[in-house]
Formats: sequence, structure tokens, C-alpha cells
Amino acid sequence: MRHPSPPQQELPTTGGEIQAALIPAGAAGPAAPASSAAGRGGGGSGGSFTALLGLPTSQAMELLLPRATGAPPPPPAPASAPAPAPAPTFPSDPHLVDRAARFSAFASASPSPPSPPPPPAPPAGKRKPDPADRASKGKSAKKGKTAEEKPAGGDGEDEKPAYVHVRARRGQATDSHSLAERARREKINARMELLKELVPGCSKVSGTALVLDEIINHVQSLQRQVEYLSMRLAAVNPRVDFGGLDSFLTTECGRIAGLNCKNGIDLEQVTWSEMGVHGARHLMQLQQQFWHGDLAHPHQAASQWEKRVDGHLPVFSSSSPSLFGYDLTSSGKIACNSITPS
Amino acid sequence: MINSFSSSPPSSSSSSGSNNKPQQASKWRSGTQHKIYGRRLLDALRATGGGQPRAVKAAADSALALTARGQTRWSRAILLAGAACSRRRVLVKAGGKIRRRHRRPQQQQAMASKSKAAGDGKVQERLRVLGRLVPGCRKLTAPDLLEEAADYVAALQMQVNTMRALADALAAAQLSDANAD
Repeated sequence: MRHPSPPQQELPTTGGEIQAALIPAGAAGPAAPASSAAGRGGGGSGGSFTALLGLPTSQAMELLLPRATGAPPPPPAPASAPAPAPAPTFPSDPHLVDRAARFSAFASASPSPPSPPPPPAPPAGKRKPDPADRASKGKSAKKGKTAEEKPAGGDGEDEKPAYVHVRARRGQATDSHSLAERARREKINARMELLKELVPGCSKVSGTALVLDEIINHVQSLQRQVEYLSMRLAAVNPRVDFGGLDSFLTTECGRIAGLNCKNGIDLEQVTWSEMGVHGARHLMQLQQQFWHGDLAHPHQAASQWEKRVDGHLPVFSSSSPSLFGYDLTSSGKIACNSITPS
Repeated sequence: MINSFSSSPPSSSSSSGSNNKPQQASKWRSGTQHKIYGRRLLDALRATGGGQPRAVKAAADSALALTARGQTRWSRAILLAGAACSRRRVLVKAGGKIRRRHRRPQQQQAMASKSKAAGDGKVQERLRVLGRLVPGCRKLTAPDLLEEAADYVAALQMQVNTMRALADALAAAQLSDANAD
């Protein structure tokens, strides 16, 4: 989940400040960036700090450290090293890749800063500052911490980002611990928002403890309702023959019924776990085994079924793809054999 | 329903450690889930032998967990509790284990520093209570627990609505039968 973007005015000024920082650097004026960096680094927790976050790591470090000599040559060389690193994390988003390319472009090729920065500045104002976060996250300490937090990045899908990008907000500490904590807290808050929407009457309550109280009460009341309704259903059950329930249910009654007899429940559990593990092919094999076992009594159960429920057989063809994703029309009809006549 | 399955394959459901939420709790509000669960519930009820509230509740809960397709922790816990057969249990556990493996390294570290955020004391105690209420979520960290709770609340709501509709329809049918006789 993306974090809410900071105020839009930040980014154009960021671009402007970066541009201002880099043009002197590119023009071999070490004193200018050093002094301005000293001035900027002095206001560490001010807004200009976030401007530094927009830079690639080595650039920011260079500006922060009061290095008077030899500043310009090192920045372009190490800047190119971290530049390719952020690129793989968001390949799916062309805008971000574009911006990342532009950032690294004017970081490494200082002779041509004027042309790339103006385009990124206005569209950057509209986009979330993810490449900036990526650059800030390039610091090794943070990378270790967030890599720990997100090992699920190694899912086998390369296009997933490996770590979370947290923007250090204005006036907040930026050491790795508090950043990770803040990321965690924001995750928790996001989930709490979801829950607050689900549970009625939570929007006016503020404070995590009270909201949790409400949620607990709601869950308990829902569980009590389930118990009460199950008592009602149990009382009603013995005398009803489930025949006249067309008004309650619409279609697909037959096939689901076939699946939900004792063997059916077995197959159902096998189904989704197998799908999770092996894929649809095994599922089909299992299905075949199950259906073939019930070919013994094709006619009797079918006639019983038709007697009880009208007009459900034609809907097999429409309903089967919805559950398993492939054609079950023929096996769907066979499925009703397994209904235990009650 | 195949849409929900293909859009959230197991590998992405395990990445709920990251910030994106692969399963939205809002799927429970859709009408198709309502129908699917309704039918499952009906046949589970048919299978129960008579008027025992406990059996009815167990059947309803199992049907609900089945409708959840085992993508959430609480549904797997319910199914495990209900599955007497060892073969079924192994398969359900296997489905759960594949996902759990991805979470464990993150969870260990998160559990070690569990008391960090969300203000210890009252909030932690309530989180523990919530963990006891949601089946199979006793030892969960805060974000995972909250996610499970969200899905569970949505599912419970759907269960209550369906059961209430069913009970009312049955009672009405009964009444009309009694009057017709």
C-alpha cells in the first residue's frame, strides 16, 4: 500500500534545489556546494533535508559532508553505481522508471542537467516520490533492516519490490530503527482503518484501544447471533423437507450439492490446496477420479434429483466455469449422483 | 469465483507481510459469495442429522470456512478443527504451510519486537483478546491479526445474513405449509 504523498509543493522545489546543487558541482565549483550543503545540512530536520532525500545516496552524502576538495569528480562515478540498483525494483511502472532514469541521468552526467530536470519537476509534482525514497533507502543500514522486514520479496516473482519505501517526513527522525517502526505502525494503522470501516460505529471513536473494544464487541455479537440463528435453524430443520426453497436460492443448487456431500467436502479441500500447490492439472486428475467413482448409479439419483428440484439441470453449463475454471458440464451432471437422498 | 483465485495465487497471498493486501475483505459483500455460501450451508444442514444447534453451528462454520477457500488463517483453523480424517488434515495443513514458510522469517523478527508500536498495555491486551476470538489467530502479530480480523468480521456478517434469511424463509415456508394443511 502506498503512503499518502507529501504536499505537492515539495517536489518542484526539490528539483530546483537539486538542480542548483548539481550545476555548481558539475561546473567544478566545490566551494559553492560545500557551503550551501553546510547551510543545508545545518537545518538537518528542516524541509531541505527532504530535498537531499531526492538525491542519489552518494550525492547526498557528498553534499552533507564538508568536503571542500575533490567533491565533483567522485560524485558522478559512484552515482552511477547505485543508479542501476534502484532501477530493477519498479520496472512495471514506466513513469517511475522514467523518473529514476532521469535522476540518475543528471546525477551521473552533470554536463546536461538543465534539460532533464525541468521535465521531471512538473510531472514529479503529480507522482509520489518513490524514486526519492528508493535513493534514500539505498543506504546500507536501512537496506539491511528493511530487507529483514520483507523477505517475502523473494517470492520467485522478480518484479515485486523487495522492500518497503518509507518517506521520512518533515521533522521526524530518520535512523533505521524509527523508520522501520514507523513503517510498521503505518501498516497497523492501515489495517485499523479497514477494520473501522467494517465495524459500524467505529468512525467516531478515536484511539486504538477504544476502536479495538468496539471491534471485539462486534465480533462477539456476531458470534452470538450465529449461535442464536443456528438454534433457530435446528428447531426448524426436522420438519422442513428443503423442497420449496427456490425462492431462497436461485441456481447452481445441484452441482454444489453434489460437491458438498461427504466425499465432496473432501474434494473441495483437496481442490484448493492442490491448486495452491500443483495447479490445475492435478485438479483435473482428482476430479476425474472422483467423478468416475460415482458412475455406478447414473439414473436413479438423477431421477430423484429431477423430481425434487425443477429446472436446475440446465444451469450446469453456466455454473461450472465459475467454480473451477474449466468445463465441467458433463461431470457436473454425473455429480448429482453423489447426493444422498435425505 | 475463479477470478478471485487467479488474481491471488498462493505466492502473493504469502506476501501480506508487505504493504499490499492481496485479499480484500470486501469480497464477502458480493452477492455471488452470498449465494455460494447459501447453497453450501443448505447442504451442510441437510447432512446434519436433525435439530442439534451445536451441529448446525459447526456445519455453518465449516461451510463458511470452505467458502473462504482456505486463503485466510481463520478458515484453515476452522477446517482443521472440523476435519477428523487425517488425510484431509494433512492436505489442509500442506496448503497452509506453503504460505506460512514465506512469512516465518519476518514473523520471528516482528514477534521479537512485538511490543514496540501501538502503545503497550491496554492495546496489547485487547489485541490478545481479539486473537482469542478469531479462530487460529492466537499468536499473531498486530498487522496480520488485524487483517485476519477484518476478513473474519466480513465473513461473519455474511454468515449471519445468510443464516437469518434461511431461517426466515424456512419459518415462512413452514407456516404456509401449516396453514395450507
